[in-house]
Amino acid sequence: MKIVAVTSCITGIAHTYMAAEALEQAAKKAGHEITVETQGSAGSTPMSQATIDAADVAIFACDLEVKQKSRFNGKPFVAVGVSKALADADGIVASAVKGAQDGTAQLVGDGEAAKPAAEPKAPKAPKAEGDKKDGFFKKLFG
Amino acid sequence: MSDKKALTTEALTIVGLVAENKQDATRQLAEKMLADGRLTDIEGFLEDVRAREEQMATGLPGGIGIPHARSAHVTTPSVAVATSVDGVDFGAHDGPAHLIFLIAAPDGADDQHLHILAALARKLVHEDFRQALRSATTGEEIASIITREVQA
Repeated sequence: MKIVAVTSCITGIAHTYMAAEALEQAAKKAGHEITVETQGSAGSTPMSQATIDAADVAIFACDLEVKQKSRFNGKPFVAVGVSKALADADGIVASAVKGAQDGTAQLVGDGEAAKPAAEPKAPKAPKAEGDKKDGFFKKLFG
Repeated sequence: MSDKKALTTEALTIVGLVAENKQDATRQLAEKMLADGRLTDIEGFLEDVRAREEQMATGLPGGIGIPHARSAHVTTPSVAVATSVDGVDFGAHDGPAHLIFLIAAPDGADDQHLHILAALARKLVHEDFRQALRSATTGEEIASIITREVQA
C-alpha cells in the first residue's frame, strides 16, 4: 500500500523528525511505501501532488494544523498527535492500512467547511461526501 | 561548518548523571552549555525549556528525554547529552530516561543547523544508536558517536 504522512510538533525541531523516522521505519517493516512531509522548522518540502494522488491512505501525526490540508481531500486518513506516532508507529501504520482497506477510515475534507485561510485557491464547493456533521464531530471528539 | 561550533562536544556531555528530577537534569546540562559559551542567559533559556516542557512532557519511549527549546538566549545550535544509570523521569509511559538530550536552537537558527538537529532527531528513533550512546563510557565517545552519525 502507498502511504503519505505529515508530521509536525510545537517547536518543530525534534518530534517532527523523530515521528517521520518512526513512521518510515514502521511502514517499511510492514512492506508499505511511505512518503513523509515534515512540517518542522528545518524548512518543509511539500510532497508532490502526484505522490499524494497515488497514495492509498494518509497519516497525520501532527500537533499543529496540517498545512494545505486540502491537498489531501478525499484521501482516507488517520490523525494522531505526534507523540502517539513515536509511541506506536507500527500500530498507527496498521490502523491506517486497515482503515483504507475496509473503507472505515474517514476521508480528508469530509464534513469540513472550506477554509479560505491559507488556501491560495478560491473556496471549494463542498463535496457531497457523506454526512458532514457526523464527520466534523467525529474529528473533533473521536 | 568550518568556523562554527559542533552541535555536541565532549564539553557538553555528562556520563553517569545524577539528578533529582528533570529540572535538575536539564539545569546541569544547560550549565555545560553556558560554560561552553553557547547561552547568553541560562535562566532565560531554562524558562523557555520549561515552558515547552509544560506544553507536553518530552519523555519518549525507549528511555529518552529530549527537553528542548528555540530560544533567544541561545547563540549556537547545541545538544548536551547525559547518560543516567538510575534514569530521570521525563514523563514517558515506559519509564525513566537513561539518555537525556538537551536541545537548544537559537531563535534565528539557519536551515543548515536545523537540518543537523533534524538528522539527530531521526537518529534517536533507532535503538542501535541509543544503545551505542548508553554504552559510552566517556564524554568523548558520546560526542564522537553523535558527530559521526549526524554530521558526517
